[in-house]
Amino acid sequence: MTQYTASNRRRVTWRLAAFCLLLLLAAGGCSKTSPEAAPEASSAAAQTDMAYTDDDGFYYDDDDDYLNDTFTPVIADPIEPWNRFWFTFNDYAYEYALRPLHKGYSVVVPKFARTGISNFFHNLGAPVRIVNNLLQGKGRAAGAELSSFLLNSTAGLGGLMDVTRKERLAVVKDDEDGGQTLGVWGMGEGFYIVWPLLGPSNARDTLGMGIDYFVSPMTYIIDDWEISLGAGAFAVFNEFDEILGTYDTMKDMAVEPYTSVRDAYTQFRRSRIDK
Amino acid sequence: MKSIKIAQVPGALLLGLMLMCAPALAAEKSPARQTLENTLNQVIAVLGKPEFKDPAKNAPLMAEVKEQIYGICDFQEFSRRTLGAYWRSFTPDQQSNFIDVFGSLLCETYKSKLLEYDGQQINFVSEIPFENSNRLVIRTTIPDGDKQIPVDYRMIEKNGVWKVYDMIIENNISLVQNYLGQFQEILSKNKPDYLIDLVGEKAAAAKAKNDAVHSK
Repeated sequence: MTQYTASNRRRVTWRLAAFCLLLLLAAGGCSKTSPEAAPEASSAAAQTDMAYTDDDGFYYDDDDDYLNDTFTPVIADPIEPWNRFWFTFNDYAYEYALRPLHKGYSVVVPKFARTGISNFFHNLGAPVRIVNNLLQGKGRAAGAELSSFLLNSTAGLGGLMDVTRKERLAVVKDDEDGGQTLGVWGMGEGFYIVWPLLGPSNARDTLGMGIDYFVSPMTYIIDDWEISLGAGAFAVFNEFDEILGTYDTMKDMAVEPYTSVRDAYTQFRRSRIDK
Repeated sequence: MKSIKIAQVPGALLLGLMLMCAPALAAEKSPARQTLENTLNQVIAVLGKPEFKDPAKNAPLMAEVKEQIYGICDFQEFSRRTLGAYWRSFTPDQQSNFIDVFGSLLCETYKSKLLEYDGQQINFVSEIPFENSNRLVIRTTIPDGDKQIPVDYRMIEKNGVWKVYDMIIENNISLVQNYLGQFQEILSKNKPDYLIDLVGEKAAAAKAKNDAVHSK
């Protein structure tokens, strides 16, 4: 399908350039924050190790000791004003654009169709998950993803039906991505980033996303990167009601939503990497 | 060869003894787990009643749930831990006001999630005691679709009564720790009364939202 015409070659070059830029940005970001990032990573590890041997990291054995200590956040957030801007922007975008849009969408497209679409895109993501499982040494999970991919693509009508869900979930603990692979390899988070519309991330997970994009066969099968990114955006939008559910709960509970989401995202990713 | 075999005898005996005792130990539930299990079962029993889904009739049931939550949660301990070092900068009045509003916020947000309950059963996974401590962790999972979400309860014993003082979701997201980060952020720039008002407003909003759902 792919023919190496001049315009095509230009596109590939452009992709490579974008990828290198992303790498540079992430590397630059990481090296800048490495003094904070190193102790941060080790304290995070200590915290999870200690979580059940001695309560948690900063509540000491003596019941009153923790009252004397000032809690210092272990999450690097050097671009906080920028992040807060996009956090607020996203909130407006979710409330006034995406929520009503999705409401209309869910009237036109019934639940079973949305589940089918969701299954289809999840199945397309299997190659990326297989590669990431292998890179993390999770052979069994990689095997389960592979057989699930083959079965769903055929018996599951090209992935519209998830016929292997139960069996796969028994082996595969969660969807592995590039950010987790880099984390397992020992790369620190770098610093916290809120992306427009995409929401919370960090330098490492952003780099991971970039790598996943280039690992995915879809990137090469679909010629136009606009279409392949658009498809990705549609896949997210299709199940946006689920994201909104979590978002609403957090917003209802939080007194300072920005900090709450930042901490929860970071802790959630750390626990995924430990798995 | 023989000496090795003889050396293994005490080990084997010990192992056999442990295996014999294991079922007996497993059957005996710790007081903490018993307390937690009782409360969760009682809440689930209320949620299972058909009138719970009926907004016109469920007000007394909601009150019952609220009573259970206040019975099992140590909101003073929750408050102290979420304020960390700032706890001591609060006057006793501010402390008790804070416990009131924060307890109410936690209770209302918990209640708002209960309407989503759909017959799931809570699984007890394990119990991790701390040495020389009046605290322990009870690990449970709750099914969400076909996945199991891990929820851990941190419990503390005071005067022979076990109460919950923190919950950990997905093995790593502690409720107390998440609020601690938020409150540190707010208190680094504002006075205690500002935080108390803010939490109070949030709790009132959560309550109004819950009541609106129930009177619909």
